[in-house]
Parts: sequence; C-alpha cells; structure tokens
Amino acid sequence: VTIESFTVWAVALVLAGIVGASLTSELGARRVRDELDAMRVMGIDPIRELVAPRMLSAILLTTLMAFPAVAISLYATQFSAAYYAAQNMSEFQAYAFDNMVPLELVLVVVNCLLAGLVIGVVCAYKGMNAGGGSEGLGKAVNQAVVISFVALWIYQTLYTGITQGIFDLGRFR
Amino acid sequence: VTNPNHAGAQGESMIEDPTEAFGVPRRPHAEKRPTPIGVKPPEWLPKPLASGVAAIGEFLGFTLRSVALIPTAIRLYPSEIFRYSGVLVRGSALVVLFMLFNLGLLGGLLADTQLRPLGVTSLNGAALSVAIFRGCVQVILGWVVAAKIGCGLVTELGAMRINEEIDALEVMGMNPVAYLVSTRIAAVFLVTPGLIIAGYWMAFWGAWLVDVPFLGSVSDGAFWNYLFQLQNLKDFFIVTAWAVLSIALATLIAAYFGYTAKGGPVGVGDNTARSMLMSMAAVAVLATIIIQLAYGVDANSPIAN
Repeated sequence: VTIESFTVWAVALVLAGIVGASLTSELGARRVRDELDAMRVMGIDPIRELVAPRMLSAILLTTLMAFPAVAISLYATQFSAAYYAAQNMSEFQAYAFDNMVPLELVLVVVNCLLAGLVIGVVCAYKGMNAGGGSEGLGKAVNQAVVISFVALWIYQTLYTGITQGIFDLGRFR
Repeated sequence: VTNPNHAGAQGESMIEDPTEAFGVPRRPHAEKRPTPIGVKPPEWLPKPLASGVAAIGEFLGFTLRSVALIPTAIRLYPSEIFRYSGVLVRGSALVVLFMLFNLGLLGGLLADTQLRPLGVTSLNGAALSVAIFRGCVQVILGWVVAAKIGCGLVTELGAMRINEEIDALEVMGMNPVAYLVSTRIAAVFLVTPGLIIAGYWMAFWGAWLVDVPFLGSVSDGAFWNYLFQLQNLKDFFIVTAWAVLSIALATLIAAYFGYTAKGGPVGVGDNTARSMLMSMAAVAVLATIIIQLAYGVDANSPIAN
C-alpha cells in the first residue's frame, strides 16, 4: 500500500504551502511593523512568545492530520477501485489491511511529525528575518514556501529510503 | 442654506416640503449611473455561498480579460514577455527540475519496494511511466509552480498595487492587465512546455538512478524498455497539455490575488498565503477532472485492456 507514503507527502506539501505561508506572512508582518523589536525592547523573547507556540501547533497539526489523511486516501482509493475495477468494498479493505502493519502507521505519524518540524523551522526562520517592506515580506513568503518544499522533498526521499531499507515493509502477504 | 420660512413665503405650489429640495439629488442622470464595479452576489443563494460564487465570478472575469488581452500584449509588449520568460527560466527552472528529479527518486524507490516482493522488479519502469507520468508530475508541477512562480507573482503585483504603481499605469493610459498580467501569462505559456518536457526527463533519470545503479533491481535495457512500452504519443500530448493547464491555472490565480491585493504589506502577505491555498486546491481538482476526461473512458494502455 504505497498510498501511505504518498499521502504523507501530499499532506506535508499542502500544509507547507498553506500553514507555512500564513506562518511566515504573520511573523514577517510583525517583523516589518517592527513589533518584534518592540517585544525585545520590552524584555520579551519573541522566539519564546511567538515562534515556539506556532511551531508546536504546526507540528501538532501535521501529526494529527496524518490520521484523517490516511483514512480519506484509503476510502478514496476504495471508491475509485469500486467504480472502475468493480472491486467490492470488503475485498479492497481486506487486502489493504492485510498489507498494512501497525509499524507502518507509526512510521507515517513520525514522518508527519518530522515534516511539521521542517515546515515550522523553515517558515518561522524566514518570517523572523523578513525585511524591506511589502516586497521583502512577499519575497520571504515565497522563499519560505520554496525552501520548505525542497527541504521536505529531500527529507521525504531520505526518510522513505531509510525506513523501507530498515523495515522491509513492501511485503505482500 | 435656504431658509424654510423664506421658501414657504414664496408659495407652496413650487415645493411642497421645503426640505425635499435637498433630498433629491441634483445630478440629472443620477438614476442612470453604472452599478458599482465588481460582481454582485446573487440574492437567491444563502449568504456565505453567494459571496463564494461572486468571488469565483470575479476571478473568472479577471481570467477572461487577461487571456483575451494576450494578443494585445504580444503586439505591444513583446519585450516584457521575453524579459519575464528569462526571469522564469533563470529563477524557477532549476527548482522545478530538481523537484521532479526528486519525485523520480521517490517514485523509483516506491516502485521497487512494491514490486520486489512480487518478483517483477523488471517492471519498475512501467510503474513509473503510469504512476508518475500520468498524474504525479502534473500535480507536483502545479504545486511547485504555485509556490515558486505564483508566490513571486503575487508579491510583485501586490507590491505594485500597494505602491499605487498599477493606478499610475492606468493614469498613463496603459492597460495594466495587458502589461502586467497578460505578458506574464504569455511568458508562462512560452516557457512551461519546454520546462515540463525537461521535467519528465529528470523524473525518468531520477528513477533510473535509484533502480538501476543504486538498487540494481532492473537492468538498464529493461527499465527503458518498459518505461516507453507503457506510454505513447497520445499520452505525451494529454499529459503535457494537462501540465500546461495546471501551471496556467496556478499562475492565473496568483495573478488575480496579486492584482487585487490591498491593505499594505500585511495584505500582500495574506494574499500570498491565500493564493497558495487556492491554487493548490484548484490544481488538485483540475487533476481529478482531467484524469477522468482523459483516462476514464480509454485507459490507453497496452496491458490489461
């Protein structure tokens, strides 16, 4: 069931696009309006007050999104299998769950967690270091999304390679 | 200010209620003035739905206008088109090709892990040619373009809007949609087919790298043989047109959000984020529709058919 890997990867990309972009634009807007400097002057650490909670929530969101995403992709595939190949539901689900081990789901969750970490770090960094008015802010959002895409991609390839190599999950039972 | 007592002294036949003179607009064609600019939400729909429909209509109007102005843009501003094409190639080609190369790596790896237990790793190329070539490449291209080109476009146009440069263009008698949006869309149409074809090539070589030299699961000849056995020229045209459409959709959405940005730097940032959301969703929906249209009836495959 290759769906699991592709699902994570789609989830991660979409979240990188949406969550990451909004995170960067929010932090960047604060940066452009000098709010971060104001916080520093007031003796509040902006990383602790602004970045840490947002990163945590990004990680939590990506991790929790793993479950509905896997479920939705499973049902969507089942639906199209029923529609095109006239495969009945019980057969599909039986095969799907025969070929799935609990370890696989754990790996999906860990994968999503790490992907959320990547998104959070890249986007928060870019947002914190935005500068130069509206153009600089837009550029920061752009770079944040592109960099987190590329980073996610490399990470995903390595993660898949390593986990598939270690656990040998592609076994048909 | 007229004294009402004075008006009354003049005689009540002229104006019955003296204050009414100020209630009636003095412009003679006030009733015939055009309705406010923008799409009016339909009244017969519930409120949240109506505003969504109005937003889609506004986007479609913008799209049609900018696409219709492409010939004007080609006639008047060819240098702008080529300049933006250069920007696209210099700035985005490397990222897009690298992403597709990575997609190939991932696809090759997954194909191998799935097919190895069945003992048909020689079909790795076939899995790649169906799963990656028809679908993944297009969606990924759309997303990457939405991220790389689209965000840049929102930023650029949004900054122009915020700095009132677009209004300045209009004052100077230039059509800002033709000059700013249509030229960019023409540039995207000019650049992307080549980029897409190079992208396929990168994806195939990425998968080759994993399957042939790294894992050694399939011989060089078998990989390319099965890769090209399961695709034909018709596939190629469908898939390339699909990719161009997804990229054009992402670009148009980005241009729309950039063009309608408001509210300072923060508004530009927000619009960038919103355009990412919309174009990702639109590309995915477009993929679902096109795959039904193109492969729903005729799978166009030499096996199991």
